[in-house]
Amino acid sequence: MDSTTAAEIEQIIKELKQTQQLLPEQKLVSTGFLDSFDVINLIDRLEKRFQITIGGEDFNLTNFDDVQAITLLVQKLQEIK
Amino acid sequence: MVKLIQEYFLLSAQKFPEKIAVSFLDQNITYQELDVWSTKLAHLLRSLGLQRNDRVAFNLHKSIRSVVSILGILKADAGYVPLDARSPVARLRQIVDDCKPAVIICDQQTLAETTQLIEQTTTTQYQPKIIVLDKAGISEPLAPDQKQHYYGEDDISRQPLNPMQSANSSNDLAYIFYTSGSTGKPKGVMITHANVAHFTEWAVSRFGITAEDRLSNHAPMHFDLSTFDIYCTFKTGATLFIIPYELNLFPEKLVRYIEEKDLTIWLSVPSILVYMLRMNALHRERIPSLRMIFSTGEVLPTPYLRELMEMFPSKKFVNMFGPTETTVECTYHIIENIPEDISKNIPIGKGCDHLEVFALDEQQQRIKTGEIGEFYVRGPSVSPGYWNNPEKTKEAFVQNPLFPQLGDKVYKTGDLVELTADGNYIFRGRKDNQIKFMGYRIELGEIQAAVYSLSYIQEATVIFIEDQDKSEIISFVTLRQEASIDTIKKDLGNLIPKYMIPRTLRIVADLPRTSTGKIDNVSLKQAYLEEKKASN
Repeated sequence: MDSTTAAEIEQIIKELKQTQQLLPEQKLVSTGFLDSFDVINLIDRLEKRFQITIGGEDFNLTNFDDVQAITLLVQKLQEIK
Repeated sequence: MVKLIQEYFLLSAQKFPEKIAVSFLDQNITYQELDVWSTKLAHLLRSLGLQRNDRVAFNLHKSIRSVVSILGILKADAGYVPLDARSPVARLRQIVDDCKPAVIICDQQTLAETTQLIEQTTTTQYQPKIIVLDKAGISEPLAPDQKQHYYGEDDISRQPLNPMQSANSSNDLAYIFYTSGSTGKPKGVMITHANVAHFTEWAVSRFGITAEDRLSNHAPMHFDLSTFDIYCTFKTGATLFIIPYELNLFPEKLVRYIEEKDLTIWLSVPSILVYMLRMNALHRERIPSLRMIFSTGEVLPTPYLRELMEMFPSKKFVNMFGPTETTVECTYHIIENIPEDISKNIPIGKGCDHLEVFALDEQQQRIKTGEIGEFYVRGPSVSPGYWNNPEKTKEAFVQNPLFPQLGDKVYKTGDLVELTADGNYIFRGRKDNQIKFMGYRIELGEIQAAVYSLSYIQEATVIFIEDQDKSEIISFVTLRQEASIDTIKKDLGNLIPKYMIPRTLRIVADLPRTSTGKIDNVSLKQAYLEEKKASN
């Protein structure tokens, strides 16, 4: 996993939630930390920052529940592109 | 028309005993099973000394148990008060202190919070009894000195099965729904059996709902949209599908759920429809079983409606509007044609047949075409008022300004509407600081009161930024003592529900003032929007 991408994603989430506290293994969606409002914003920001398109099928718990999973998804979508 | 709304259920249970009444996840319950369980619960409630028009609250997450509770409470001649199990205990305590339910129903999942709720109630000599729906027997003391106050499933199952004799009249209390209050204290809207019955009769006949239908229950039970779902289902003998919260986050799963369950009627706030569209979960060939889609509870954004109507030309789309005080809805608009101009708002339509709606200008005259005025509602589904709050009741439920000689009360909504040439109304905002965010009705004053209650806050202002699909609540604060944004948000989380916590919180040295010395929200808002635009 690319650590720069992961760090950038972590930063995006911290900005989005206005928090300094985000542990790498923190569960994002299943704990309710991100709600639908945050998710729309997060996807917007990821799409802009990494020049990717996140489709309906990509959005599931496995791909979005922690920073590592999001990083893997972003990298996969960047490769496809 | 029925006298009491549980009769809708009882009549359908006689007709369709074996049919599934309610479905949630992989659990299904038939009309007969639901009848048995709720009757036994009603007997237990009565045996605890419940009196007519007492309140019984339930603190449950979405589940079949919540429907059992509703029916059991009604059968026992009491009014139900649904609590939002996801709200902080401090807020629930305000509700419990206000309406003093004789009994609170919970399950194992919400038992800890419920115990906490009553242990710290500020009212002395008030001790509600607790029924834990999935606790087999309360053998070991839950709280050592309070064992006598707890009842479990064993206590329910030994109750008799004979039908309850109701003493209630149609003007008795069916439920109290609490909404956000501008002073920081939630406000309880009282709704009677007659209120619900008039609405249900209208909705079922107007939209041709039948026993074949499969209705969604998307809204939580403490939202009055659930009234449509539950009573339209029970009146017709249809089946109700309670949508799990978790699906709201995953539009693809939600769409699959609608397909797997063959839902035919969908009613929700538009945010979830917009979310499904934005996340690309909807396509032309999907959700084939749905025949009617109702959007209500907040403004339906025209561009998304157009997208939906182009995608699904054979489905019926209805925009509805109504505050909790008028029982679910007071106007409706069946959208016949795909809107051409996406910059124009979709009308909220005309009054439901059982109600009269009108709008008045400042001189208390009916508005003319093109004018904007305050919206009033009159008729048999208008609430009798707010629980335990004669002052607010007097302000909102007023003598009919058009026909004062009749002495009846009309509900002054505080909503501003415009009258169009074809007699429809268009929503044009609020007269006060009430907002709609993610489908929730929120008073900015309630958030402000919570922020001010934190000891380290010196001054604060809460602003709503309205945007078609990216609205947000923001707050600017000045501090007495050091505190981080994380701390402020965490402390607010103990006072108000998550959806009320400002998304963006700014700690500033000073708040700008207008010439009259008030906090200048307009310039704060402008500066925020400009900054946001620059960062995009």
